[in-house]
This record gives sequence, C-alpha cells and structure tokens, in this order.
Amino acid sequence: MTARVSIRLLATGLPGLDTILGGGLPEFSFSLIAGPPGSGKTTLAHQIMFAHIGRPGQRALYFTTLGEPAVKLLRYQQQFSFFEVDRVGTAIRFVNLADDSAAGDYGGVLERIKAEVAAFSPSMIFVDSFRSLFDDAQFRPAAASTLPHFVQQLGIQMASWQATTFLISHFPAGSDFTNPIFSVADGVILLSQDIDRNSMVRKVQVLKMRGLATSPGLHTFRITDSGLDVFPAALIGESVSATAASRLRPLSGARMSIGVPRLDDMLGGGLPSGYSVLVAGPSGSGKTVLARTFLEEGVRRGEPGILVAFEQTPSLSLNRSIDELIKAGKIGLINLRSLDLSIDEVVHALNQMIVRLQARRVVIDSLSGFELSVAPTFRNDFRESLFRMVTVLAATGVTVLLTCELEDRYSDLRFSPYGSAFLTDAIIVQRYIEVESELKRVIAVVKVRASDHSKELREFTIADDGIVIGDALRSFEGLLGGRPSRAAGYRRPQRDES
Amino acid sequence: MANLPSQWNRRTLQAVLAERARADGASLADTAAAAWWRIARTLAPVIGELGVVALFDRSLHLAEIEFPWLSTAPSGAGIESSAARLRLCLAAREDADPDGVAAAGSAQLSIFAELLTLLIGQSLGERLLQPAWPGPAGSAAMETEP
Repeated sequence: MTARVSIRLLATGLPGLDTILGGGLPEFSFSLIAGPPGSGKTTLAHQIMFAHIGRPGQRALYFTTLGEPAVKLLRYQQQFSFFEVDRVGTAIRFVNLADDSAAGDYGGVLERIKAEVAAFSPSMIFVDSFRSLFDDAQFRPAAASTLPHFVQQLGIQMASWQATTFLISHFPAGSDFTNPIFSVADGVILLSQDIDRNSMVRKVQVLKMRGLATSPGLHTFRITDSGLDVFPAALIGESVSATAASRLRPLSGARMSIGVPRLDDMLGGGLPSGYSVLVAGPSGSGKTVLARTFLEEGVRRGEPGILVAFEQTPSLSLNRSIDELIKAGKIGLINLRSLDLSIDEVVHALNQMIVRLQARRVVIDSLSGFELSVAPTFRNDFRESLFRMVTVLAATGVTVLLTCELEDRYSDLRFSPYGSAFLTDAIIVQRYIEVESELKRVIAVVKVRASDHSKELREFTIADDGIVIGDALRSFEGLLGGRPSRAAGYRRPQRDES
Repeated sequence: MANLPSQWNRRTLQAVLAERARADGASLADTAAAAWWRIARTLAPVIGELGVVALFDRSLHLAEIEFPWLSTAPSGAGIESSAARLRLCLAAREDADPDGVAAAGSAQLSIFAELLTLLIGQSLGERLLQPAWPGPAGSAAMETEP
C-alpha cells in the first residue's frame, strides 16, 4: 500500500502571500525569510505568527538573537494591529538568545533552542535574526569553525520538531545565494525595496517553496498599520482564477447602455458586456462626463460600478449625482493619490471591490493620472502592465471604461499615448474642431470588436444633464484635420438678409 | 505615568517588601534583592540578560536621585551580579535606616517597571512582570531565593 504523504497548507494570514506561495505554507516546512534591513522581514514573521496562533491550540516560539534588541522588537511590533499582547506568554513565547550567542558557543545556542522547544512544544518557530549569528562568527575564529556544524544540527533538529520553522536573515540586496542555508531550506521568501528617485516600492519573491507551484517573479507589497499587504502580480489566467471575482460571468451577448442614447446606437446597440472601452480625447472634451454617465446608467439598471480616480481632491471634480451615489454606496470609489503605486496594487483593490459590490462596471479615470501615480520603476512597463490589468479585469466579467488624455494632433490620428489602442475592445474618440470660428466637439466610435458600429463623426455638446449627441457633420470634410471645410456640393442655406 | 497597576505603586511595594521580610525573618536587603532577582530571571529569556541588566542600571541610576547612597553599588554584569550589587548597598544601610532601605528597594523595582512599560507598553509590561512581581507574604511570587 502506498499512501502518499499529504502536506497540509497553512494560511499565512496574508491572502496575497498565500496566492504567491501556491496555496499557503507547507506544514512542518523550514523557510528562510531574507532581505536587506528595513525590508519587512520581522514584521512578516510576526504577522505569520499571530495568524498561526489564531487557530486553536497553536503555539509559537520566537527566538531573538543579537540582530534586533528584543525590547525594541516588542516595542515596535506592538504598533501593528495584528499584535495581540494578551497572547504573549501564553500562545507565544519570546526567547532571547543574545546571551548564549554572545559567548560564541553555538553548541550552547543549539542546546538552549532545543530545551525551549521541548518545554513549550510550539507548532511554529522563528529565529530572528539568523544572519547575525554568522556575522558574529566572522569575528570569532573559534566560533566560526563550529558554525557549519550548528547549521547542520539545527536543520536536523528542526525536521524533528513537528513545527513549521522560519529563519529570518538579513541579506543585502544583490547578495548571491551561495550560502548553504539557501539549499537546505524548503522555502525561501525574499523581500526587497526598490528605490527609484523619491519613490520606494517593496517587493516580495518566493524563490522556492518545495512541493508548491509558486507564482514566479516579483510581487509588490505595502506595509501599513495592519502589516504587510501583498499584491500578487496580475498574472493572466492565474490570479484571475484565484479570485472569487472569476465567479462573475459576462452576460453573453448582452449589451450595456453607456447612458447616452445616441452613442449606444453608434456602438451598434450599446457596449457589449464584458468589453473594455477606451475613451480618448483632449483635455475638457468630456471624457470624464461620459465615464461617469456610464456609471450612473449602471446604477439605474442595477449594475453596480466602481470609479478608480487619481485625483488630489476627487470631490471637486465629481458631479453631485456621482458624489451622492458614492456616499450611498451604490458606486465604489478607489481614489489613489500616492506616487508609489504598483498596477498590481490597483488590480488587487479593484478585484476585492468588484467581488464585494458584485460590480458590473468599472471606470478608470484616467490612464494619464494612473501613469503619474505608479512608481517610476513601473513606468517603463506601463503598457505591459496595462495590458495585464485590462485582461485580468476583462476575465472577471466586468465592463471597463478607461479614459485617456490625448492631445489633438491634426496631422495624424492617434487614440492613445501608450499604444494601448489595441488593448481595448472598443474605442471612442473625442476631438475638438473649429467650425465658423467656434470650438466644437465631435465624437466617433473607432472600433467595437466583433460588432458593427457607426463610423460617423458626430457633433456633441455637454449640457447640464450630460452628453447630447447631435447629427453627423455630413456637410463638412476634413474634420480630423481640425479645420473642416464645406463639403463639395454643399449649399449654404439661404438666409433672409433683409 | 498614568494608571499604572496599584501593585507597582512604591508605597504598596514598600509595605509588601517589609511584610515579606518580617514573615520570612529575612533582612530587607535580602528581600528586595530577591524580589529583583526573580523579576530579572523572568524577563531575561524574553529581552535577554544584557537587556535586563541595562534597564536595571538605568533604574538604579534614576533611584539615586532620591537615594544618593545607592551610588555605592559596585558595577558589574549579569543578573546574579545585579542582585548582589543591590543587596550589598541596601545591606550597608539597613541598620541605620530600615525605612530608607525598603523605600529605595521599592523605588528601584517601581522605576524598573515604569521603564519597561515606557518601552514595550503597559499591557505587555504587566503581562511579563506579573508572574514575578512581589506579592504579599504567602503568595506564589518570591518563593525562590537567589
């Protein structure tokens, strides 16, 4: 009989990290949490520990060494909301090894660790910081010779403890992974900080986790009062299925009213549900008005919406109707103002809200604001990230409207500064033209994938109650050049000159 | 500091130390040093012996403002040494000024508790100190002599 071992996965308490790990932490695994100083290693360890002891009957032992004075650690970790003071001493025991390791006697350190583990029977064990033992050994030739033995012994001991263990260790950015501990560990979680000009972006990478299909590459995270918040990179096909949002299915073949009757006609009967549409146009052309009309129409039809804005004072630009709908909870608002965002963080926030509100419509207003808000380090990949975002959002079944600032150029016809026109399923373009010394707005549907649509350029105005689409400007030609002329054969209506 | 637990209060502590000394037939210096030793031993696994002794030295230094004769305590490292140093300078005054010795002993403990609280917060500080804090004679704490 060959019964395979079944490895239980423990939730880390960080849903994003569980996703990256491929489900959670394998029980009884031994992992290394490594990264440069300030990267959040100790905070991550504490967060995992407090999540673990939240389950009944679980205990954790946290060894501190020379790395971080224990009093400081207790002082600062308490600031996080996950730190439950009343569990210290009962479910969690902190043990300081500074005195044992200061003597340079690693045999003694190991004996101490073994004795404490035997006395407390923890199901999770942390040693913070492991590297400080190595650093210390560099200055103690006698101790250095016993260190490899210590590492080996510790590895053997840890396997027998029936506990999930972590070594926390600072490794400067760019250090190689020649240290044998990287090979011995079942899992390696690397934390890093990317500094670009004035912005700092935190990243996490699961270098390995035995037995699990981890999400490769770097994922961003943020440290807030409640600890680390990990935003798994929006991997097409993967994170989508991992989110509950995937339960939402596009209404097959259904069309969504955009809220402007004649524009719906131009689109061939509304916007196909689940499509993404780009509204491009110059400043003041009415993109935001159109975007918000789209959301208001959704509320009228029982299709909840989400507005993603990137403005310092969103209320100033919100019209009263949208403002009231947001206050009433009928439209979700994600207003992102920081200048160190990652697109994954936005996708993460959006996904959560889509599930919570059962949203059917999403407006991102605007891509230009979005580009300014993402950390400089992501700007080079902005187009690629947009592609991922649009794909991931589309997979959740929501219909996405993105606005995009587009300076009028009368010598060429462009739809987006990011070359993102191909990203979306539909494109609506707004432009200014000059007619009889007056600026007028025109609108056109440039594309609706797999659907017939109007090719006309229509004049439109913005009235108090929204966008009013006029007729096609058939009497003019050269509209896209910005300075149209009367079409040949046009006869000016006779006016009564008397 | 506001709302510290009443058992940390110096007067309460002074009365507890005096009562225990009488009950055990021990000197005040021995009783105060034993109380400190027990607290230090309880905390050392959590914040390290070095951390405990550093806070002890600071508490003794602050208590010297009120009891200048505490400065006669010799310097030294380690928990055992800290308890011995405390006992030594308290014992030297016990015959002449027993009230002063009880007051100084309770001041050192009380200041130590305040320092710890300042660093790690009252809730956690209380949790860590509670098992070792001197209680009235016959209570569990302070059963072990150094």
